[in-house]
Amino acid sequence: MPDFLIGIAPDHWPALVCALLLAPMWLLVRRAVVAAPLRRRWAVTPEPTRWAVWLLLVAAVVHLALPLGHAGSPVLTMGFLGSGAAFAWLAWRAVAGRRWRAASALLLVATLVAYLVVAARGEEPDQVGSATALVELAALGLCLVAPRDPHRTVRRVLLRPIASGTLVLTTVAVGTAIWLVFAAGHDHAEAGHHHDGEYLARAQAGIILRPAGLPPTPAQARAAAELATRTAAAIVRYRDHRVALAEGYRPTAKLAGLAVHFENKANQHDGRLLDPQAPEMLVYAAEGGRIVLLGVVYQMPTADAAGPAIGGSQTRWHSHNVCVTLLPPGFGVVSPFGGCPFTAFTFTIPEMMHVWVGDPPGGPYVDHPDDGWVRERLAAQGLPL
Amino acid sequence: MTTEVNRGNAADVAYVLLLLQAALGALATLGLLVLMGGNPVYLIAGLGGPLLLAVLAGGVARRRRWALATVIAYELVSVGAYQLNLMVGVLPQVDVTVNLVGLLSQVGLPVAVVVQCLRVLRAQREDRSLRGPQSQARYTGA
Repeated sequence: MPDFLIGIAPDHWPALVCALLLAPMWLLVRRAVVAAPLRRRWAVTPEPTRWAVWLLLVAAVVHLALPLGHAGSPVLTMGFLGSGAAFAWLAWRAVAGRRWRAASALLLVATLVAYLVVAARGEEPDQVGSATALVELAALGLCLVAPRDPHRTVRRVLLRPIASGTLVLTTVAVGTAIWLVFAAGHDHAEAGHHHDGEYLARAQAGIILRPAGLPPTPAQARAAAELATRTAAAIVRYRDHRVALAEGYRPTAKLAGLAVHFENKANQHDGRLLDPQAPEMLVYAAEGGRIVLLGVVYQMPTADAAGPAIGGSQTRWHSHNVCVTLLPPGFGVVSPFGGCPFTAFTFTIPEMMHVWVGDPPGGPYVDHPDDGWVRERLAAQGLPL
Repeated sequence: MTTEVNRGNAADVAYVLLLLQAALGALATLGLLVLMGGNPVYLIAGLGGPLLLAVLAGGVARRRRWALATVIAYELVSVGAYQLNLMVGVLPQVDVTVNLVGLLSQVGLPVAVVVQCLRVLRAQREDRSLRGPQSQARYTGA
């Protein structure tokens, strides 16, 4: 449940609540005497159009309510209100039996693109944003894919397969874009790109970043600095990765890349927390035949316990929600729409925290060190692989 | 008339929702593929589900009973697996993150598909009872 709440940006709660109130409001409106014409129209509205109306209304309500929580720019507010009103108008046209598909499809595509642009400019995708995108994709499908014609017409033979393919490709493209935006936002989480600076990485697409909490007290800042210093001193012996191998660390993937993790199963189950003498994982960069030690990962022994906030907001823990497949054995990351591949299960692994050595930009607790800095370190201090 | 039109078109809704579900499966396969180093075995394994859904979607659009029944079974297994996954998350070693979009795609979408398929099956049954024995052959393929 806490992760459920973390996934929703505080300024998006009003929009979510308004969307949830749509169904009870519809029940009330339906019973009203003045709604008799609406009921008559609704009774003859085909099922796909009814679904499209509902989905357009959800999109309308979310967009109209977003300014309640957002204190954003006037342009953004006007955009929300304009698109919300347009969605509502198109829903009405659909019920009234007028043309609605082409305009709705254009508006939906424009809204999805605008969402990705806004997200790329710092508004990190959260659960309300991703859920609204999913609703809009479903609505887009109903706009594009016309009901099946029982006769072999051009529409059925040619247009319907094209529309179906477009829906699939658009969904994959939007999801991939959200993923990329989320990954970029995660990499720059420390920069406080999001306007409230508190909750980050809400997309929960593979990474769950814990709330930062309050700024560190002087005692917490000292504790964080001390842990970083003790960690750097304790892992000097692992500069040669062969020492790490000899002490039971094993790479979790191929020895290639700027963040190769070596895990030690024994340390993961020794019951010791934040022990610089026995970190659960080591992180190396390995590229161009050279390898360099970057830091450690401290990990909680079980997934049901939160990591100690020794340094306040400075020492943030994160977790990963992963997809585990059995046939064939493997793992991936959960998609921005919360899914895993066929036959895969999803799990959230125990919380972990990076501590980097060598004074990277952003400090020892930066979530992801700059790739340029890593390559410089590799060139200057890397050992032959 | 109204009822028949609405229920008949439920298959079109199910078709779109199944395509969306297949697309979500294909997207999730990308996440698997990236972490497994682009190994094509995972591409084949991951795209099995979406391809199956796409084939079933075509059958549902044609109101085929085998497709409707298979989709209902598939979706019920999917929702059951999700519930099982949540129960496994009670173990201390692992956790399961429940989020809004996950509930929509893993529970809401399959349930909506099942409801639409059941409506199509019910409409077919009513249609058969109205038309008499001759129409039965149309639905059973006899």
